[in-house]
Amino acid sequence: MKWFRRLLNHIRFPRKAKIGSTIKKQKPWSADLQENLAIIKDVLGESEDVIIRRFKIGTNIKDAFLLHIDGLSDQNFIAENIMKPLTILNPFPNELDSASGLAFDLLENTLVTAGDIRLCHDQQELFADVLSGDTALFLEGCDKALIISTRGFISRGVQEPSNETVVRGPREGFSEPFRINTSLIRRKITSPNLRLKNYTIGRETKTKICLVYLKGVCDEQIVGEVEKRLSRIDTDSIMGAGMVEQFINDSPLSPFATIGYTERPDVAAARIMEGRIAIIVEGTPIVLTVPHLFVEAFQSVDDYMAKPTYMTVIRWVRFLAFLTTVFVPATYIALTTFHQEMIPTQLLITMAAAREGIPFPALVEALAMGVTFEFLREAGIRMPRPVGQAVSIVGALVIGEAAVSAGLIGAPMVIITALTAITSFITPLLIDVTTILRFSLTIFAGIAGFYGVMLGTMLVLIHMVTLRSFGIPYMSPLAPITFRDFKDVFVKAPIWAMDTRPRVIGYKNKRRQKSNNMPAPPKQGTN
Amino acid sequence: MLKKVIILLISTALIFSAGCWSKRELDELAIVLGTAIDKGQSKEIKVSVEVAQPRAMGSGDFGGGSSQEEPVIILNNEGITTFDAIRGMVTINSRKLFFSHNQIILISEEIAKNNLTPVVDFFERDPELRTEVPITVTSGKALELLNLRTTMETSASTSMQKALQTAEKVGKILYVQYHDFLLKFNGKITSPVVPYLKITETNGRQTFKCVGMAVFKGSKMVGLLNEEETKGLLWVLNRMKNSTIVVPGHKQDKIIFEVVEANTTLTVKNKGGKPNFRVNIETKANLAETQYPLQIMEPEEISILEGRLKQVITKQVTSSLKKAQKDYKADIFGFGEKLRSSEPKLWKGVSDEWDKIFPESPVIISAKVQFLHSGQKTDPTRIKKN
Repeated sequence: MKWFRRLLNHIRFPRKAKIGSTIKKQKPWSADLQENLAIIKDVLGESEDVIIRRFKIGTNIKDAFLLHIDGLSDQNFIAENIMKPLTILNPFPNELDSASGLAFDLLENTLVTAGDIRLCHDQQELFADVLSGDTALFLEGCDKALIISTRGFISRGVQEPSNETVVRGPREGFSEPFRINTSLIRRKITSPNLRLKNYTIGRETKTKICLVYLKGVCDEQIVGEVEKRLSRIDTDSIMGAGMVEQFINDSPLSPFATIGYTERPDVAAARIMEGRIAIIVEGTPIVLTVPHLFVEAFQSVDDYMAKPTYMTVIRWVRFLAFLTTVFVPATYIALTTFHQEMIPTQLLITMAAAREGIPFPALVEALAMGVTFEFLREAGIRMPRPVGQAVSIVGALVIGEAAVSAGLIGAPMVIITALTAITSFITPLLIDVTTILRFSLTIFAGIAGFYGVMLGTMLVLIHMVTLRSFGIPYMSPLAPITFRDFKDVFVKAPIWAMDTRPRVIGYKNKRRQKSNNMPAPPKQGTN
Repeated sequence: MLKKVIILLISTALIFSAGCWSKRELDELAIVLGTAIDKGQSKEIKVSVEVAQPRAMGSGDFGGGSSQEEPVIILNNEGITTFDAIRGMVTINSRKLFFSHNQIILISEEIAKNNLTPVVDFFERDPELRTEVPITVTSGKALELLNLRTTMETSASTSMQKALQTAEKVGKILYVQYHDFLLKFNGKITSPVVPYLKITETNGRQTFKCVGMAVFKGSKMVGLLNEEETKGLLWVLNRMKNSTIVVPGHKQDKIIFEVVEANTTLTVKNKGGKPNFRVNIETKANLAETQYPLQIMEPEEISILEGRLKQVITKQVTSSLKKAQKDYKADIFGFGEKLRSSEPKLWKGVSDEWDKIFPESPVIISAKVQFLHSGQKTDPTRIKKN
């Protein structure tokens, strides 16, 4: 119990981190160029990628230098828009001889041709900008620097998302650079109401985080709540969206995810249009969306692109797949070890025939096969690509053929494992939950049959209805029930019929389109 | 914290105290497919069960057993009661008998004619046994029917159960489920009837045959109804389905009709303190086969045929009434039950001596027949009307 108490204490009484910052707080720059250079050397050290470009300007020669980081800043841009106008193309060499303040104004207002520039007096601010790829310009006799936005680093660009594939949807996916991701959403929603709010989290990593939402549709209270939770994060590093997710989760110990994620700009934009908030984290090709509901796991981009009748069927297939992957092994165990009278006679005899001579109890058989499948799945994700074939051959042989022909595992168990494996991939957002539920329900079934399965199901259901995602009930529109929102849950209504936003999320601005949108032939005489 | 631990412990205890602790693996069970009860030699009762041998019976290659094995095995044991005999079987068999998939209960005529009461209790009391299975009486030893090797099914019990079910669908017999039987057996007003099976030979191979219904009075079997009388019983009980009715044509020629719809209403009237019953049969029939050149398109011919059909149906009902009232004095039709529900005052007066009043009660039979279709053709085949 000790570890449990320690865990609880950890949650209740947070401890402050002790790692101090290497950057001095709120310190102004000196007017002496040499002194500034010394400060920079002191803070950044002798790192190889720190470039300090000294040069001289004006007829009477004033010392100046540029500070930027190699690889983060665009070298061509610096040469074209800073160095050239200041040195070769300088049309006012004499004016630069005047007092340092005036000369600096001239640099700022006229000479530097780059677009995004600003003044900087604070050391800490300057280092943060330079370390994100900006260039700082220092001039002899000035106690300030000019920050010029020169960010330009190599990224893999916009590629097709590898995990969320669709048949008829767009093909572009989020990438690592922050600016690309915001622009991808901006390109989907050109409304002036689209708001982007920036934060920096992580004392050392200075990770940029951006909230994207549509003003007038999104509930500002939820935005406030997200901001509050983000501001509470006190850590030295954020390596990806998943880490932010864990810091701002409503129920951190629940296996159910109350924060959604996507690697598709169209999905993020669609969710923003429903009144949700997207959280972009720098360096992650995955964007978080809140609030996240249980039913979102059963929705896909294709639902909105393809014919609604077929997609309604597919919705039900997904629900069925979820139930199958969670309940089938438990049901099999309960039926074959407790309630044999419920199996039709012929099926019972066939099952009994398959179990003849199997050395393990059915529960052990089920757990062994389940664990074997998890081994294979994990290997499939972690293995280096070239050994993939070896894993699949060995896996298929071990899990299927050999275990049965050796008489260690009954054939029905192999079928059930395969079935649960396939169906678990139909709702990939829930794969962590289904795995945990499947194993625990199987054990419950092995202990107490259907009674155990029902008990476990009740526990899970009770837990699910208590969950909230940023104030929104996780199980809505199922519990609390909202019949209007069933148009995107149990049926897939045609797009022209989806005239209102989901009630629980888009209640600030309910109407999405006019309600009589069904395409119809023109009335006679209107031609 | 302590509270949480206590709650956790209590909920864990709930799981374990639920009484569902009866885990049985499939390979620990002997799946019983049929049960036969005979009179024992050394002890009172001999119970025989047909047990599935999954290795040989289950389909698929993964069983690992050879196909030479018998798909079923017959076990039998004697005991002072049914349950005693069944419990005793663990001494001769490695697995515990599992009765939930029992398909049929066979009771030998010897036991049925003696007294059925001590036998039936176990089948009703034990929760593992299903009461929707058919119960039958067998001529001779019930064990012998279990021992039959039928061709279509691997198990004799399944074969008999399916045969009885099909036979009812074509109006040959009454399919009596055990709970129906018990309802009448315990109710004491209506006498139960159950199918009567015997062993016969077909194409040099022994097989079972349902030859009629065994009639019980009290707890004893008193006699049999033959095929025609069984049909009469089915008409009155409103259980007639797709039966065939043979109508005599000209000379030796026969015309066969198939019943497609039958509806019987039973009414009772109080006539001077005596119950008068009326059986109203309404039926629709198709022409199934004719050896006689019928002019089926002519209305007169149809009305003649309908009249003949009526006669045959009435004859069937009368014969079974006669058997029940005069020979067995057993109310197999549920007349008493009808009287109790529609004329409760009269029933109070006669209930004590119903055994005496039933055989004397007058029954009026009226049949209404409607001819529906003549099959795929109207004209007779190559036969000219003389």
